[in-house]
Amino acid sequence: MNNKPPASVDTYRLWDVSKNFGDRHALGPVTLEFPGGEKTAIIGPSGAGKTTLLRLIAGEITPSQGTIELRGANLESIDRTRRYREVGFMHQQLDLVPQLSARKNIEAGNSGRWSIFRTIASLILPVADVRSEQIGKFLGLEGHLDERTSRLSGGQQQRVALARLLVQAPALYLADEPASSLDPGLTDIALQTLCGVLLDKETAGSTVIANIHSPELATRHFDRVIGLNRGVVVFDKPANQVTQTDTAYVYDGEDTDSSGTNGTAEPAFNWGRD
Amino acid sequence: MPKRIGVGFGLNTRLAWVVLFALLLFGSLLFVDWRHIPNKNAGSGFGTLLTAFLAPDLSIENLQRVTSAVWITVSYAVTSLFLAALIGLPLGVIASGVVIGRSKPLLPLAIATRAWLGLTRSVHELIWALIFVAVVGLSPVAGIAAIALPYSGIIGRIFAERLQDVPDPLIVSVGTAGANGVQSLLLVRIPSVLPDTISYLFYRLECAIRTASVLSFVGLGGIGFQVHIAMSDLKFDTVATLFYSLLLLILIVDLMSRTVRSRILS
Repeated sequence: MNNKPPASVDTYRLWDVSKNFGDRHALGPVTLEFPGGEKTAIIGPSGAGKTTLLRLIAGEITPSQGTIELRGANLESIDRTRRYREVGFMHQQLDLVPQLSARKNIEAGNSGRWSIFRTIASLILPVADVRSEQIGKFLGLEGHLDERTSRLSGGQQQRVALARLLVQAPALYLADEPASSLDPGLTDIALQTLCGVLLDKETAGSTVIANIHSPELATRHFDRVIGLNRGVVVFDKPANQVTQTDTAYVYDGEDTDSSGTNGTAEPAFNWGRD
Repeated sequence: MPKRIGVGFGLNTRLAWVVLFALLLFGSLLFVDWRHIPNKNAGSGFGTLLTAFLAPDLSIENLQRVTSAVWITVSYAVTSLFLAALIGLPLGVIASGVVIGRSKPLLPLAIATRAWLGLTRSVHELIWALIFVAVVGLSPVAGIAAIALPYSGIIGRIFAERLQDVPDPLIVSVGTAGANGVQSLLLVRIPSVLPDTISYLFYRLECAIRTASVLSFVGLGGIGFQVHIAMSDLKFDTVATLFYSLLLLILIVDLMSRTVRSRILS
């Protein structure tokens, strides 16, 4: 791993990256490259390190070892105030503000672009952000935009979080189980939107890395599928070459990991302090 | 906050605390002289009061006086609370340190604000009243300042704690979307704590009404002042009317608080 080739300006790369939380080994070492514009699904059992992988790329946690490069630039060298253009992250827990309306949660995706005054105006003036409204309506939230987010169903909240990510419109979309609470029809719409098939103005040229609970959805909607188990890449193939044996193998040993469900066993967020 | 979960006292330490508090409680109970009651006519005094409270003075003249006293108390309480919130909420934001974040140079400002909030609320309203009366004389201004100052300390401290306790993942998520400290305060922290804070301010209004009625004695006028006069004149039926009016007032504020709370929380 010493002969690290120079990073291409159009790829996202993890080089020899591993992550431990205290004594617990969560991920790696892995070396992965994601060419710009590629849509990748990551599958694997609970505790495989899928969430850790996304959090590392988002810069929420720093690797115990190795480097992460976003389009030729070291992740840590990217100015925090400009990072929102590079990478956006939809968490599995959604992290919406329950007391705010769906609309305000979606509009929060504009934070990086908006000044403090624009933010204040958006909160107190009855002016709707056109793009937020378009994306919300496109995801089937019309009629729910002005409802308090805590009153929405799990599936509706998941679409609010996806809409917020689409409003942010970063170059790299990270999504942790973006469609786990949706019915089959909405799942297809959500994943097609994320992968730029629908609403292509937002996502067509973007790179997507998503954790997906179902191998079937992963192979159907994405270009490439990576199988992760116990922090190690088990397979890494174009979606149309993934076989039953691959998926059976990656889920082998499910629940033998003692670290509990996906992501929740990890320590509390510690952004920028570790 | 998640990091507090699972971190408790060890068994021996816990036992030591229980023993300490038990000793404090029993020491206090034994210290109090329960038999020393100087008024030998306590029984008949109780009877007089009971009669008065069963038949309060409801004459038009008295009700007019009570109404005016209630209005004085309410207006001073509302004014005091408004000032306390106006000062306390912004100070709470500074004291919480959530906006300055990792900016080290501004940390002393947060600590100084925390100290100021602590100082103002560690002294009781009555003591502040004595101090302000000494400065400006017997005046409503002294009473209002005496309530507003410690209340701003309490409101600021509670608001600061609530802002700090907003779950980190929510802040991290809007941070990834590009929000800075001020934006995450506006978009996540304040909306998260607003319903609880409004409901808490109603509770504080209730407290302010009680305090304002007591501070009547230092020149505010109002319910407490009228109780004082009526007591001196041994007009217990007037005292009873004032007592019931205060009760009614608190009930109304409580009802308002419940209504607003159910509207904003549901």
